[in-house]
Amino acid sequence: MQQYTFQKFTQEEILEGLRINDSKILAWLYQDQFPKLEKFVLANNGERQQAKDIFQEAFIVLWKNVKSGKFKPENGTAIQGYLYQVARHKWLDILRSSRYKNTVTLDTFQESQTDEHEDRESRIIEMETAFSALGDNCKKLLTRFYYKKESLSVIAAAFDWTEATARNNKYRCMQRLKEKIKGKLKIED
Amino acid sequence: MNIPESISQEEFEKIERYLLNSMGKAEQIAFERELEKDKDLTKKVGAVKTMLHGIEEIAFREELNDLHQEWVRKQGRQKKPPGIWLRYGIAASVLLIGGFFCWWLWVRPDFNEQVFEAFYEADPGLITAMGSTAAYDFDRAMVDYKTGNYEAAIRRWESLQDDKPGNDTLNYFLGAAYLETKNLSFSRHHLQEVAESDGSGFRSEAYWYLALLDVLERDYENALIHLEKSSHPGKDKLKKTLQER
Repeated sequence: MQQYTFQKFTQEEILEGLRINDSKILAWLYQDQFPKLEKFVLANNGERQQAKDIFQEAFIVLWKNVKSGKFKPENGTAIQGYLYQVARHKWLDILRSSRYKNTVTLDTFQESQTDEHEDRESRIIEMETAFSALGDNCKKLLTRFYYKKESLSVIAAAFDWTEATARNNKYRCMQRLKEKIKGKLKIED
Repeated sequence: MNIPESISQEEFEKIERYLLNSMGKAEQIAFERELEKDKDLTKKVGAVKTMLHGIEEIAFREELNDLHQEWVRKQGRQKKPPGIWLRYGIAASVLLIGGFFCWWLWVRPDFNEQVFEAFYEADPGLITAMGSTAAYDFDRAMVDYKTGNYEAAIRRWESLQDDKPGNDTLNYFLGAAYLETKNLSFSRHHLQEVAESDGSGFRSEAYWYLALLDVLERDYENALIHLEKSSHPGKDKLKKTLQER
């Protein structure tokens, strides 16, 4: 079970793993890149918790850009390099913003960065609040279908439902989620 | 744009197929033409997209946290890099000799800990086939257990226990996971449940681990009683060790 962490994957395998949220690829990439980033943050006035937060934010950027097709690897280590560079720049941005917080230019830069960040944060917090208020079955059903990419027949078998029930329940759960975020969240374009 | 009032199931599933790229080419072209004309439909697609992205991101963030915990756990088990040993080799050798005498005199593990360490071996867990069985959550927790993420495994198994409080498999692996985290009283509670459940395939193993818990807690008499009820291959050797102490 644990051997996967020592395997090497091709860029195409990593890309596909990110697209379909493959746990073994995600685990490998995390363990392959986090130590380097942590070392960099610790050597540059940072702490372990900050390294973790920065790295996970960068991982989310990579994951979103792969899914949207904005990121395409151009060499054999492009994905790993991109993840590390995004995280590294995020940390350097933090260092610069606090070190030079009295200068007008960077203040403006920092504010716009912060606004964008806060907007993203509040959107996900609203979603998390709404999602966690759903029943346990709803949360599991939606996570399995939309994140784990399991088919309705697999999900139906797991819950001891028919496939039609799983399909109807999925719709009901999404309706419930929609009701909870209504008026609190703006929709995406 | 705000979240629209209502989306019928048929309409929702069509939008979902579009967003998950599971439409045929012809259906996709027709849908995109419709989208260009229908502002209300655009709004509905936006709402479903917001929810889909949100659900995925929440699950992804949770997975990243699990991965981090796993990384921290692995780090804890790793030895220090050899460079450090080389740099401090000479000093360490001197300290080692002195340290050995201190250890021998003051901190040598007690008999109970020595015996426990000699006989304890964590249950290797069950084979999982994630995503293809009715027991997905159980299997997911089993993966956590086997990768040493005991806290996550305990969390998942305990949530399953609400539906199946007397399940011997759940109790057995909760006992095993708590034992790994050195949470002895919780471990004993779950293992005891298994030991007392007639017909459980885990009874013999449960008695074996209960005996080892007894050893850790220096209750050697109870350990011998529990060993009598186990058919673990190490049973006789452990009995002999306890009787000769």
